Amino acid sequence: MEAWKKVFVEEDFLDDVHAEPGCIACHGGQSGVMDKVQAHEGLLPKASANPQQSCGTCHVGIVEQARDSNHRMQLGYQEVLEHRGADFTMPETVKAYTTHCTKCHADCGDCHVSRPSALDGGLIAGHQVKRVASVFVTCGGCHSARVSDEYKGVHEGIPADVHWEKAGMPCTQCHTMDEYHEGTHGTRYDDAPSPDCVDCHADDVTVGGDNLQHTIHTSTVQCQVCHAAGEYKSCSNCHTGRDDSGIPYTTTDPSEMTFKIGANPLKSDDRPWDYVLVRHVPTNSDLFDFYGDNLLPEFDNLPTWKYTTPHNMQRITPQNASCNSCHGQTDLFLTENDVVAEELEANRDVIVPRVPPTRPEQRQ
Amino acid sequence: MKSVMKRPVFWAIVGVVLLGALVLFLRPSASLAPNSEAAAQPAAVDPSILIESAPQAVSMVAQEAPAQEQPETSAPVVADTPSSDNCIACHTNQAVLEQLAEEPEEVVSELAAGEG
Repeated sequence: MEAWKKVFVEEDFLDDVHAEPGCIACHGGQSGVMDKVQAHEGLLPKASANPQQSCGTCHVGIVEQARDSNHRMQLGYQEVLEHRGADFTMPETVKAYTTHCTKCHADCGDCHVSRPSALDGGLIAGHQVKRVASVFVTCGGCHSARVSDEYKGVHEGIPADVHWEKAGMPCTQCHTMDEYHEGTHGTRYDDAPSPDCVDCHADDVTVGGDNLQHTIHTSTVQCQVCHAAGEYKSCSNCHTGRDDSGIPYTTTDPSEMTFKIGANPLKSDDRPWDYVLVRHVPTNSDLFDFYGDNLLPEFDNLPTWKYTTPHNMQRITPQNASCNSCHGQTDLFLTENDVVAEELEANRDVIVPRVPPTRPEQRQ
Repeated sequence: MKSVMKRPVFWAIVGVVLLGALVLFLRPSASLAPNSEAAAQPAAVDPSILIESAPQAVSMVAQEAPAQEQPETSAPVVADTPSSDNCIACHTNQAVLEQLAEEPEEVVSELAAGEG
């Protein structure tokens, strides 16, 4: 997007209720001067960085609700880092975290007014305040590599998600407003699955129903294990630091397309399955070593191959074509051979101890 | 005594005394009015006492609740906000923006690598 377009305000917006307070009420700056530099003195480009003073003056309830949301606070990041031993009372940890891990933080305007900073920002539509955020510009702007690309079928040879391909369902059809605004849980997998496939497909997924495979596998295999259409993205080896000029940088290895069935590390009444899909996340024990020694002393408390829910669902997939498309297919399962030596301990709970054996042909 | 009462001076003195008594009688009632007003004056001062106590009430709220939890209406913002005409004049003018808008310089380390 060109620089001028990012700050161009459509005249239609001036008739919008959100224009009534006037630009300066939310953005600061100076009145009555036409010189660019002088007019921008005291400017707050992202008005919702202080939501109580801007959006919250009218939208009191929802701003209060969203104050601790995952999108704003990234509580999931902090929770998993704490599980790995990060101590957020240590200045070194705070410095590392705030320098490298908060770029995805989103306030009201990042979803409802502007494009994500990951897409270099700019107004979505002439400062129009969108009640429902743009699916691919906003949601996909941040959740691109691991969700949006899968959902749209960007990865070569792997079809788009059937919910998009055939039904054209936007993110908001499954993910509710409360999910975007509430911050009651640490990570998205802490509570019961939401959305849950059976919210819509309950009739299809019944034990003793028409589909024998569902009767056999529903309680032991996560839906995505059978219905993910193919590989999805895994990342690895993230390191942080500052160069000689003091500029912070992050490095990761090139991402890989992987499909791995692991043992369920989040087994519970809500997630009873033995087998779930896992993907490698870009973390390692020396992630913050530039900032201090051993800042993640309990790194092995969590796996680096993590529970995942790819967004490339299809009814028929390579692994559910027949029993032995999955059974006995060692390559599909996360085994010790897939895990680097220094991460073996962290992944002990997700490594599949024994790949389900091939089924006799007559049982197929 | 009769001879005294016959003297005009006596009646003049009596008249003066009676007039003085009348004046004295009327003065208290006349002075009550100002006193009433004076009594009303403190009532008129009372609002100032309230005004003095009002900030205390506000500050207590501010102390008890985080600032961000105090709902504010947009009305005062509208009323107190200076004109944004200069902002609108530029930011709705494509030609001006094409001339003046600049991409903020993004500083990226040469050591940065990967998709993250």
